[in-house]
Amino acid sequence: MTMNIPPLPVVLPLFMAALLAALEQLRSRHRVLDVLSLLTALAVVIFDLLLLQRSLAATQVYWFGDWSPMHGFPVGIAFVIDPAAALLALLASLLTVAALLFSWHHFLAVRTYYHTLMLLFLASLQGFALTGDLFNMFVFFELMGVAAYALTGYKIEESGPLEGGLNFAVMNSLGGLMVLLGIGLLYAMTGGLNLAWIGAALQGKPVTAAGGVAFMLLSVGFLVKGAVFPFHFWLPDAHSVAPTPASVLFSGIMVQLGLYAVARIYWVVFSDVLAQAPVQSAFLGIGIVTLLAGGAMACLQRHLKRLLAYSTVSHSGLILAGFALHERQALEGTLLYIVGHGCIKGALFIATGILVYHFRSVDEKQLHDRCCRLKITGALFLLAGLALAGLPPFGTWAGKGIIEESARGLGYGWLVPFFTLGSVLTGGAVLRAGGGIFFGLGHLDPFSSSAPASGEEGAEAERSSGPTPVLMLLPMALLLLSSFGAGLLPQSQQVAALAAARFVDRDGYRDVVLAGERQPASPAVSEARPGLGGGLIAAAGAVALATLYLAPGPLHGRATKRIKSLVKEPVTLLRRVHSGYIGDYVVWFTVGTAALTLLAVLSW
Amino acid sequence: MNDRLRNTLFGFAAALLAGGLVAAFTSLPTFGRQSGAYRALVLESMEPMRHAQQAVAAVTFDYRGFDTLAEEFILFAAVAGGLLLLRRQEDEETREPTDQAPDRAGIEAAPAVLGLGVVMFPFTLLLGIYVVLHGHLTPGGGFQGGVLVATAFYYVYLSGEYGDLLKIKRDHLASHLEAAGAMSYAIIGAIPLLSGYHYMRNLFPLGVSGELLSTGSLPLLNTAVGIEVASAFVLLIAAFLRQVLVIRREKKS
Repeated sequence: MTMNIPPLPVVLPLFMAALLAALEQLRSRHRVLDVLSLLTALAVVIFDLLLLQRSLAATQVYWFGDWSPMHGFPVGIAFVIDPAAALLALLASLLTVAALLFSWHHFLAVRTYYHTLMLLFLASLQGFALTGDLFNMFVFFELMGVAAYALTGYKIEESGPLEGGLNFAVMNSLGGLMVLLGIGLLYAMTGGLNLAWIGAALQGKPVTAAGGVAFMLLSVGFLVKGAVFPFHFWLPDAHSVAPTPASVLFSGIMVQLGLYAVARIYWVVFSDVLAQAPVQSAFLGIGIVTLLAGGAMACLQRHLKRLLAYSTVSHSGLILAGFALHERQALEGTLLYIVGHGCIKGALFIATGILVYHFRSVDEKQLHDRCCRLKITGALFLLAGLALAGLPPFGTWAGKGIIEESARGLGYGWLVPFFTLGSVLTGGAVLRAGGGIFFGLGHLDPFSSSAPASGEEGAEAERSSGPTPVLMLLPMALLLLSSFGAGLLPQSQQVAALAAARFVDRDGYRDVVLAGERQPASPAVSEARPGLGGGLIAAAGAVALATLYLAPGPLHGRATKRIKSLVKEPVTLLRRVHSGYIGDYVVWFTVGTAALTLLAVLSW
Repeated sequence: MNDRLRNTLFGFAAALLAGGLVAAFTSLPTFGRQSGAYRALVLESMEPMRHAQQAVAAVTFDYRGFDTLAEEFILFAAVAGGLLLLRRQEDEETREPTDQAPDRAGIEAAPAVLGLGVVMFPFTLLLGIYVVLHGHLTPGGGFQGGVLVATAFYYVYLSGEYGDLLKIKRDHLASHLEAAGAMSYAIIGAIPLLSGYHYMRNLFPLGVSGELLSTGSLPLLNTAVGIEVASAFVLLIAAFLRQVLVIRREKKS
């Protein structure tokens, strides 16, 4: 029995999802559903912890149906659980627990299939993180998508959620098509679907255009999920209208898993086949553009969930850049950053959910100065804003610090100011919103004059004037604490270091999957902790940016007009590009795919 | 972006993408020269190891049966999502369906249509069940047969008896069957865990090759999928019918 933990994080939630769908038809049983779904998610957390613990000793390979490789060829499907996979699976299950705890008081009445869809979504996240099979990855990618589209459109009474769900579905389906095309190319070249096998089969052969294009198509598909420029347009539309608990999972882990898939496929399959330089420059460039565009758009929003969604875009850019450095230490930082950021972003979305619970609004201007009685929420919100900017010792600080060290070592020191800028922009936007909403600071700011976020939150929850329920504050505090722990504890850095070392050990990964050889435990790398300076500078920058918005200063004095006219054009351009029109999104998608495919054809 | 810019940009990018894809396709191994080991291994091993004669079913439900579990749940999620999005809103009300033609009072199908429906229903149902049960022997299986079974109920709609379909809602038997079908696949896969084998291990008696009860768990899994798919499609058509025929936006009076 103890050998059989690997399938459980997927199979248990799938089974429970179907069971809850049947139970839901018993009337007035929604507490039963709450309890059962919460217990399921907690069980998955325990499974993931066990898997993480075991994977630290040795990478676990689990062949479904006992179909271990025949004559060295994998005929079955394998889960390949190394520490990185287990870590991300654990993050997914923790965020699900937080989201389900929050939804205890969130919905007026639990309606059609909410718990079922959340558990299906959890199962897909687990399977996607743990699998070592390319087609299996695609299947879970699809399951993740289908559950997520439905959750996005949950509030069918409004047009926003339906449009958001539709944009999400169209863009992700296009991405899915690209993934399928890439899988087809690789299958035609190698005859296998197992990642390790494909890598081993391509190794040492002359590089063909098909190999390069296959990598780019797979990347494009997963980058749509990963929401980086120019594939990110669906994200703000979807994340801002989905019910809060779903947004927690979307922004906290789903997007990052897309980027993780790109890194995983690169390292296991292509890292010794394709020359590194073109991939690296392309992804670093995309990462930086995403980081800046997302950060700037976040500052321009007054719809809180949209603001957070754009900040997710910005951090996606940072994470992609971290992966694109293609180096062990950068990977360690990126993994740590994903954990740190996921928890904080989850906490921030829960805070917006609390605002909806009390005021039925997520509009920064409507809520201005109205939420002063929510002292705890306000304090946690500001703390989360600082943490988002990378305040030591949160996980974002540790992760970013390690990535920056690695970037300097590789001669990419110029990335560091961009990373800081991204943190300043997103952290500053959150702090500005928090300062205005919870503490009544500042005036209506001159730059965030987009349309008000009206009416969209009406049906999600009951308006409550009582105190915030503990079960809403608890997950928020726990998530912040997790991010705090991820950055503070040296152990978490060690886990990330080991995960990264195992992740880049391409030959070890292939051997353990194909030959069943135990992967030698990588030597523990003792590392210096990242310095405090970078984190403090970014946090101070975010505070300064928020102050600029809120305090009587240049933005509110006579200079306002000059500054306004100075930034007007780029702001207008940025807004125009984010048109909200699906036809535009498809055009951007096609342009991006064509550019990357062409890059592949020309460089390999 | 205006229409012209959008179209130009798209056309240009699509042409480039097509060029890149053609370059990739032409560098693939020549058609018919595929050298993968998969085919040979499956064809050699499925008969001795599983008494299976149909490679597609063996791969779908045994070698890569875990993929199929997830695929079954994709359909399950899609139906859950569909029913969620098609639910009756609070400001909507249901009304008796009415004929759109002004000169007819009630909706009645012509006798010929009704008669054809009565004839087609049992045969289609039977064919669907046959395809499900023989999925491990002949082309077809749970997914295809399930759709056929659901098609039988579409004849009910076509022959004008849509009232029977409208009764199929979330607390209907079809809904329970759908959940049960999905759950059974997960359970059948989990049974080997009890004896210490891996998930989806095919432990059931393999039978005589080519007979109805052979290849171990394949017929069971096909049946589970067939039940799930058939009820899923019946639920979906019923939900769409309700949305089109009886749910009306309440007029503000």
